[in-house]
Amino acid sequence: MQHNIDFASLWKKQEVPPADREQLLKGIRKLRRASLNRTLFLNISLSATAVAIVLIVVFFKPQLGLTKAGIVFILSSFLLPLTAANRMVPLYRSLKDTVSNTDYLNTLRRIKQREQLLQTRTMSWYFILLSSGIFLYMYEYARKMELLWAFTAYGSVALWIALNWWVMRPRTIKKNNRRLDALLKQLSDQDYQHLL
Amino acid sequence: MDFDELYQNYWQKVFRLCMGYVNDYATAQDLAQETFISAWKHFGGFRNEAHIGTWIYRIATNHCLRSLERKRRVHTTDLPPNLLEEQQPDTEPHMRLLYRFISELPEIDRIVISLELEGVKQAEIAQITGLGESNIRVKIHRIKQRLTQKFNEHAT
Repeated sequence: MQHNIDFASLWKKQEVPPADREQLLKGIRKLRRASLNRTLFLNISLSATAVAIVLIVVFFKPQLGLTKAGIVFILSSFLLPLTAANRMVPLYRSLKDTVSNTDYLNTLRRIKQREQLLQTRTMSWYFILLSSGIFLYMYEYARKMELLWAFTAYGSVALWIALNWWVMRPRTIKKNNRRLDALLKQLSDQDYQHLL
Repeated sequence: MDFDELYQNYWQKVFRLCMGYVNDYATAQDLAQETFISAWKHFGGFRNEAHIGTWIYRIATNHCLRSLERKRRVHTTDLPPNLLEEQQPDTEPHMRLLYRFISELPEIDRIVISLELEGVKQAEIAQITGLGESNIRVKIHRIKQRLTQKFNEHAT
């Protein structure tokens, strides 16, 4: 049985790749481009949505105002997650990685709580807009169907939305938070706190 | 100290620290590289309020902690052990075991023991992690006991 293993000298035996200055410079240049790309992406998405609304109205020529409203609702719902993500950018900028691990994780926890709140609100509005948009859009076409087919069409869309709202959404949120919660628990453990 | 000097002096130490956290050669290399990119970003704001080592280790450990959130998540325990061992140059088996055992510890413990083995003073480890010095002392003792036990279990 071994008792005095020299961990420190074993630790130093790890082979280390050579410092690659070129790779580092590449990373720095990528970082500079990333923020520019984000703004560009947001602007392109906003313009594309506006163009899509106009094109659908022009080419499909819906007769009812309800159908047009439905299209606007559906396309607006696609933009919501994008704007929410954009609102998170300044929050994550406030996360400084030069502070201690405890402070870092506490800030991360606060950001995550706000993100969760924002996500919950965004998701709610997303589903409200998307569902009402689809229902409004479908009306013009459903009223031309037989009653049974109209019920089937509306019923299956409602089922799909319900599945996403009550099953997929909570599952995704839970999965996102699981690991961070476990890590934060380590720091707030009773075992730790009395020693601090 | 200029940035180039910081990079040359701390690259190896930061790489080993990341390696202790993830036990994956390529991921550790990425994490170490990201640490220095972040250090470059903040280098102008470094005012000597902390030791440069404490400063760079804080960035490195926070990057390691944050890596758990990413899509390219590190699941060292999910991979077959032989695959993990093939990813790095074949060197001392005891050394490889040490890194594997460390990467199996809870996240904060991995950071504490990696810094200790890198020769960082306990007061400095306390500043990096934000935990109390006495806590660090106790933790290091317990982690070393745990590692010794793992080595013994592996030998039998």
